[in-house]
Amino acid sequence: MNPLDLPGPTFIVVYVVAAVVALIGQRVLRVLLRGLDGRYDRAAVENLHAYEIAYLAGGPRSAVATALVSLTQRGRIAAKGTGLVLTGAPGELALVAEGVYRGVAVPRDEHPLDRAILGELEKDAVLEYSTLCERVESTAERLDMRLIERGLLWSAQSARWRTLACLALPGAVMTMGVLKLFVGLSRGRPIGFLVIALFVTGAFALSGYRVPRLTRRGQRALELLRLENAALETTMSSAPAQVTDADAVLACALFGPAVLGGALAPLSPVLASAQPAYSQGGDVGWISSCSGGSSCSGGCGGGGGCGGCGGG
Amino acid sequence: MTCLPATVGLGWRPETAWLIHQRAAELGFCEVIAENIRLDRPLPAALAQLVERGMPVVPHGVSLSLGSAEPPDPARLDHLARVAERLHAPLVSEHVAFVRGGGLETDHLLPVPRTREVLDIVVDNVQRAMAVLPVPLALENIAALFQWPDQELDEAEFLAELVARTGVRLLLDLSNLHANARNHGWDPLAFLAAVPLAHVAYVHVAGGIERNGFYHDTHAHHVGAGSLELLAAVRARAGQVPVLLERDDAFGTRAALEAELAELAHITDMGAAGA
Amino acid sequence: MHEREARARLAAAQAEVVRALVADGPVPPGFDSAHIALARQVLRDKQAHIAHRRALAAARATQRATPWATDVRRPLWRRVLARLAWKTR
Repeated sequence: MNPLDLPGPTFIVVYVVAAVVALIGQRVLRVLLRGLDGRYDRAAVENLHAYEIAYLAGGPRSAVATALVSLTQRGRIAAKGTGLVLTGAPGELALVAEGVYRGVAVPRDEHPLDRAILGELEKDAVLEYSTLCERVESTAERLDMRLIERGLLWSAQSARWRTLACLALPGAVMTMGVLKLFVGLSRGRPIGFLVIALFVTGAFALSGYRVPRLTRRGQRALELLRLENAALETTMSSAPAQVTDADAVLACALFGPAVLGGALAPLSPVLASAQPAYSQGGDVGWISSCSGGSSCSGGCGGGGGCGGCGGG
Repeated sequence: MTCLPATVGLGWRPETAWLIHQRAAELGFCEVIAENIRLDRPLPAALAQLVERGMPVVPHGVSLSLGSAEPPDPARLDHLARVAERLHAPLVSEHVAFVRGGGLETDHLLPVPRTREVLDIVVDNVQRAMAVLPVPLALENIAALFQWPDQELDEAEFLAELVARTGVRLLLDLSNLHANARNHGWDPLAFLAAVPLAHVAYVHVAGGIERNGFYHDTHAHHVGAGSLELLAAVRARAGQVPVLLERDDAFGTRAALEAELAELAHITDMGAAGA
Repeated sequence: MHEREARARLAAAQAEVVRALVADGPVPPGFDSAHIALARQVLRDKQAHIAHRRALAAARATQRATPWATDVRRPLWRRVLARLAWKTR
């Protein structure tokens, strides 16, 4: 029997039941497709390069942002307004701002992404961040290789077919609904309820179909990396000079360029369109303005006397 | 009389969190201002990790005001006790000082008049505090901005009697001692001879500067020669005692801070970051 | 009670000192007025310093919450899309 020939009210009921089943099925399928293995495996994150960690945390743009921070530290590039420029031969000191950027850096092997960025800057004197991202996209995308090998990321294609698979069930049900809609229209039947039902199904389906590239394992690895290095975020935001250059790059990779805060000053207009900042989960039980000693605040937990000092 | 490892330690602040995290193996312990910790929320992740990994974290109170005329506020004592529990702390520390009076807060540690009458009051306050706290208490000597007239005891005597009558431990702040010696004309070595060093739980050193002939204990400068000499003296008299570097501001570079810790380790022949 | 009287005496003495330090009270008898004046200044500096630190912390928090607040603004739809894309990459 052709379901499209069912009388209106009956069809709606059939549709709703089918939609609910499909939506539940979509969620279940999504859970399965994201991978059930959420085990944290130390080996999976060992020896990852900062740019790979950045990729894990925020995709290719984040990796490029981290590379830019690293290259600026090494004095290879500098910010100029909202663009980037080369600073000349390796070893030449770039614009050295206070805090993170100490132009004197230990020479390091160039990463393919570094080379790609420098190559693009050689071709075009000044480049904006977005343009640069587009140009080095293919190199940046290749950072996912080891991450995929270690099961932290799905490949782009894999993520795509998983996502499509999640659309399949509700898609099928909605297609049936849309067909019935046309049938109803052509027969002059009331279609109000069906339209509403279609919108609602659509909204639910769209809210839960994407399978992110990050596998469950990758998500767990990222969470744990961030947790283990929580002190890095804390210190980076409050005293950048207390963090070495290499660690600052790691901070940028794990927590986003915004964690570099004021120390990011020269690069800040350039990276305006980089990923939103990750920040330490919610409210934490620490009153940061009170550091005791000579600068303890009266607001600490009900009035503070202060640390044995004659000074201020 | 210490429950802390004989190493150099560093005060935990957001600015020093990363150094402590990376050097947790060498830095034997750290200290945290108790009033900075809110008990209704989780600890900062970095601090929680240290606690999990078994690093001794000492809550250092600044607002209990054991030198006040009033007995210690039960709410503040409770907060201190609960922070100690939350941090699995081996001991807590506070000061021999008062911070408020006449209904006004000063947010600063002020010296108590050193008379026998006041000593009785302080002894009573300390005993009340010790009764509530789940772990041993150590009291710090402060840097006095002024001196009371007509005092009967000098600071070393006062502390010695306090220790004898209550069994409380001492947090010997060598920079405060140096400050008082400079500003009020005492002999710091005589102090060290008179104070019961066996009851010292740990030692503080901090930086300061001299301005217009007055030494200010700022916790924002490199530890001065005066404090370091006293540290060497304590090492000579009392052996290896845990030493905590206090730094609250103007942290400078990582390398500089590590160098300072190494210097302390060198003077005391104890392990520390960078050593 | 002797103890109560002693505490009352101490409270009065300490109140006098505190008033001298933070409430422009007179220097109590027997105290070195130069030291008290210095102490007043130290306490004032400290309050200023605390306020400064609070302001810095607040500024940092605002900066982190709206990282690129003062910088290049892309149209809202592009920002929303970019955010979605990042979240589900």
